[in-house]
Amino acid sequence: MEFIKDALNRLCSMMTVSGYEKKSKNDISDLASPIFDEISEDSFGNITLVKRSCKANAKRLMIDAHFDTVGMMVTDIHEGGFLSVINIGGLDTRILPSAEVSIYGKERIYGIVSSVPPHLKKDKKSSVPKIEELYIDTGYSKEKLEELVRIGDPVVIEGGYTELLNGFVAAKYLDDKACLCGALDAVRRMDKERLNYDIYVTVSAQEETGKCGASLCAYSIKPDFAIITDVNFGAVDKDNEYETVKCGEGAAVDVSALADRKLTRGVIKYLKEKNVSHQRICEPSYTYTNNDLVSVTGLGIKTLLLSVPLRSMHTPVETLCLKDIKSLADIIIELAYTDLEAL
Amino acid sequence: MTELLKKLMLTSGVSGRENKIREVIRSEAEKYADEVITDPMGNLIAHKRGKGKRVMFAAHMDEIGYFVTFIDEKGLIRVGAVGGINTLAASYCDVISENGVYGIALPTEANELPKVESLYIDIGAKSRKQAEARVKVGDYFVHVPRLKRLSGNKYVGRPFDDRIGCLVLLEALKNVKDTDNDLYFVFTVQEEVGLRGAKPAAYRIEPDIAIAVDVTSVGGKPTSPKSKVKLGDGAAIKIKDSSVICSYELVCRMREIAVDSKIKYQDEILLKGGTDTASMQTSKAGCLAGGISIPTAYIHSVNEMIDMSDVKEAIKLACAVAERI
Repeated sequence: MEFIKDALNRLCSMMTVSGYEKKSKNDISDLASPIFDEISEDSFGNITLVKRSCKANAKRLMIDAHFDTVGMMVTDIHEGGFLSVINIGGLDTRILPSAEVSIYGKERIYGIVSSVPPHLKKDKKSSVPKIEELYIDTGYSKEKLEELVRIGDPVVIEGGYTELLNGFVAAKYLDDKACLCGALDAVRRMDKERLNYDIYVTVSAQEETGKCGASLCAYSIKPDFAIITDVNFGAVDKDNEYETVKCGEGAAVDVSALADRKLTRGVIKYLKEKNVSHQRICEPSYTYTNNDLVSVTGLGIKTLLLSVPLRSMHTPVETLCLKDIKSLADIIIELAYTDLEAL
Repeated sequence: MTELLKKLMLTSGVSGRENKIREVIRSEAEKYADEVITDPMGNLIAHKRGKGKRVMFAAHMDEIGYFVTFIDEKGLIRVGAVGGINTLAASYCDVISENGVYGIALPTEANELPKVESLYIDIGAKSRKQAEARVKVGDYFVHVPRLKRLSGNKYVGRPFDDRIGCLVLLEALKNVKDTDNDLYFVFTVQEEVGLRGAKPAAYRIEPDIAIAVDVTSVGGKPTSPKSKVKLGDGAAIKIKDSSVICSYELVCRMREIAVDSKIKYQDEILLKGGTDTASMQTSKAGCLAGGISIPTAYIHSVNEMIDMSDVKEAIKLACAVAERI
């Protein structure tokens, strides 16, 4: 658990807004290089981490976790030190007014999303502002700001990393760094002798803006199997029981038409036999994860989708239970030792 | 250049029916390229050989239009949309079929913003029989092409989207100086219906660097979307549109090249609309992708507006990128 806590904290502090992931590639290398045999990167911003098995001509198992996050981009610089922005990915604009942000220009500068006090509001009805109508207040003059910031520079919402009771953590960008953390923990604990596959962990870019990164990796790697990992909606109340998974009860196996049916069934049966705790969730058609494009890459790839329950998705206080990350790692290890074809 | 622009503008080529415009572009490209081929989907690929980086430029030669779905008993023609038709701008405008039949696009309800499905085309026929003698279900219509010069460097007409990009590519192909880079100038099909043509073209070429040359919206007009881009402020270097986040190191490199070569440029973030950039960036294992855009007002209307000075800067930028990237 110590590794998970430390790695998760480090991952969450990395700036990896979709399209700007390369800014953090060295930090990923630092974290991953003690664990893996090879590290490579591509033009799109994906990083591929390889752990070799002892087998000659081993088959390839790809394990994907995206490391990009939703965020914003500077579109205009105004008098008085204000910036306009647009969203990158599905940002929840309800959380923006009065949020703290960092702008990654020539140097990192801080700002807050300004908001109009209720006293001054002409329209008294509360409504969610459009992102184009918001201004980021930096406190700089326009001239100084123009030296430091350019149109197109990325902006992220700031947030902390807070440990709650019962092994829960609230932090920014647990989507999908939680799963990346799980994949790293899994490979760290893998016994090379027992590996049935060469392991390719793809730290993929731009999931939040079109899910392209992982399928580009899959095209290059041509894996025999791919395990896609992403966060899923953690249950808060009973209203959404059938669309959610429960925090603290383990990682989930997603049953979907776009994940390989035989592999998914086989894995569920196998995990039961081995007494590895897990949940199940049904996503009949699209899963809205990297699974959907990886499964149709090249001549088609057999995929399995695993997910970690996460509450308050796409906010700076995404919340999860660390146990579920360990559970994800446990499942991945078990599968890496197994002949998946025979399940 | 103006003669070539006229030819490019006045030859129609709706998505999926690019054969006529392709021949116009081919006859021009063959003068300057080492090899010109047409791929199975219809993309025209002009190659200027080199041993260095493989650089792919793409401008789409297709345009938006209509296809005929049904002809009613009164001889009125119902249509479906090919690409993003602006129905407000389309109403009461003249159209022409691929066989040269003129008509007018009309809304069914006079005072409401029509859906494309409720637009119909009146060719003046008295009956279904008379209409069917000239137009068949499945035929294509486009808004009548036009080109006029306004004051100064401003031109209006259609379809600047994206024949002006085709012009930039042809001029770049013609004017590019000797370089090590292996250059591909691709005139793509079916961009308006989902960025389709560029995908197999990039799959074939496997570029290291891919640049789409297309139009982008300008701000500052009463009806225009929010944009910092202005007519006359130079070629636009794309940072993002709704289909893509351009590779940022390429964006930065393009800015450097523009500054070094004293080319007037502006930053572009396009909030609505996609480009071939996205298809090229994610072909095979991916490549560095960006865009050079020509600021254009009133995109997808019958009177799109450009400033020729921006086009000249875009040609210079395309040449400089081809030579120096």
